[in-house]
Amino acid sequence: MSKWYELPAPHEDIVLSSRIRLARNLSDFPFESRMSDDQRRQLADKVKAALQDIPVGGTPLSFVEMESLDEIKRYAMVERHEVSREFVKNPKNRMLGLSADESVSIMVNEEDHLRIQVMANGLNLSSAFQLCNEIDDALDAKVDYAFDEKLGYLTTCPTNLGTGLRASVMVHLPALEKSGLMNQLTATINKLGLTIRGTYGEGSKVLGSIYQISNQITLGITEQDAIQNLESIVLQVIENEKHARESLLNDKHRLEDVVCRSLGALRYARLLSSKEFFEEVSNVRLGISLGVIHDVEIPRLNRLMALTGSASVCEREGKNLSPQDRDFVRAGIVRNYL
Amino acid sequence: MLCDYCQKNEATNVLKQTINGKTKLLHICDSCANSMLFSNLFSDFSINQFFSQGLQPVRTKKVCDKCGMSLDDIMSTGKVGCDHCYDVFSGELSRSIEKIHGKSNHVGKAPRSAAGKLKQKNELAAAKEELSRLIEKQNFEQAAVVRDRIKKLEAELNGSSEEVQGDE
Repeated sequence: MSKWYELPAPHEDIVLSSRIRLARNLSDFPFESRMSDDQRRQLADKVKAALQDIPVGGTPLSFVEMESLDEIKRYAMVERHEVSREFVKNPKNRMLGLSADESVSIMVNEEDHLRIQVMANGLNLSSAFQLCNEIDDALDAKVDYAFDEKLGYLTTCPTNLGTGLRASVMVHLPALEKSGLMNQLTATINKLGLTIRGTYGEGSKVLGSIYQISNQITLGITEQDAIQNLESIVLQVIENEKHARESLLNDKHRLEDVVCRSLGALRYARLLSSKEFFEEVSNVRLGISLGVIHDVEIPRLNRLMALTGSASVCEREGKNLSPQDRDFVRAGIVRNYL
Repeated sequence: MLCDYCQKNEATNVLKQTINGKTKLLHICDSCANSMLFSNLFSDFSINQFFSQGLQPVRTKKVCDKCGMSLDDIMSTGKVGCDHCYDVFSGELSRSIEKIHGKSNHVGKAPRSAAGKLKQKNELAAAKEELSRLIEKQNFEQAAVVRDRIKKLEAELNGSSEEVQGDE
């Protein structure tokens, strides 16, 4: 089965992925920070039983006890955005429900009892929400959610109260970055009740000009409005990025040189650090979108990004590798794919 | 100068806070600055709350009778311990919640357990609006019908809330 990120998608030249996440807690357990190990196990069993006969995309979810995975495997899942970094840091009594195409992941005993997450490629928030909402309804029929009429779904952190919905879109903004417009964009986005962050969310660095834009406010706004707001802002960001990209074409030879050198580096390098990989892929992605590169497709780059994170490279080799060995293996994988 | 917050340690940080155009200078010690400013939830909210209400929430002895969480725990971690904490500390948390979201009432989806009641509440609010429109138009005949509907809805809602209380 193809993974969700391997399929063509709307606005894929600028938007890498869309994500919807719902935070939910059960009313018959204390929240995560006050739970005993016994209660965590009971909760995981209860959720597993409730989810077992809910088919997602036609096939049942598979369940993984996070403790049963070694550190490499756990962090490889973070690199593929299947789980949060927080979730794998302490794997004890944490369980994951995962769909076959890896687009749906349900984290049990994260900061909230349940974090229901659906990923879609390109700009596809509404279809991701629809699926997330269906899973939420199916669970709601079997468990009792902690809910208050005034505050909505009750969450561990008050920043998620209300809908418990976080919608985020991962965007590639090399041209806006090059034209020095990112600070201005960040300020505007913050004013609109949204936030823009690094590639792996809160507190993370920006790799290869990839940013996450997400909603901040969850109380006093419906799910549909929160998603529509985010989508309309992202569409404007896309327009701005397209505009900035066009101005890069004014110096076409320089652009072609930068982009083709990057493709060359990816095709011929023998050692590729993660940072360099992200930078070269960023240029190649830009080159594809501006019609400079014709023989590589965007989904192939998405697949490469999912395969070449530091933990994913070690996972593939079945052992922990030194940074230099990782760079060597990474370069090999990239050569094979391009 | 002593810390404006704990009144114990030497203030080593100066914060400039502007609310509705009015600027205040706050002098805070390192430990209070750390616990208040850098807890992931409350950023500047706890300071706002403290100075606008004259409360010293960190000193409150109240604990949640379901999970044992104190307000001090909530302030330092930015997390509550259970659903009941939101009832127990509703007074202390409501301002922070409103500052985070700018609103204080949920308008989105509801789980099945609450959906029926919410629907009735929305119907009631709509009926009340309709009633005032009809009275304005002096359509008293129709207004009487709507008023009866409102009475019926209110009775149903009160009945169901008693039932909920009875369950607890």
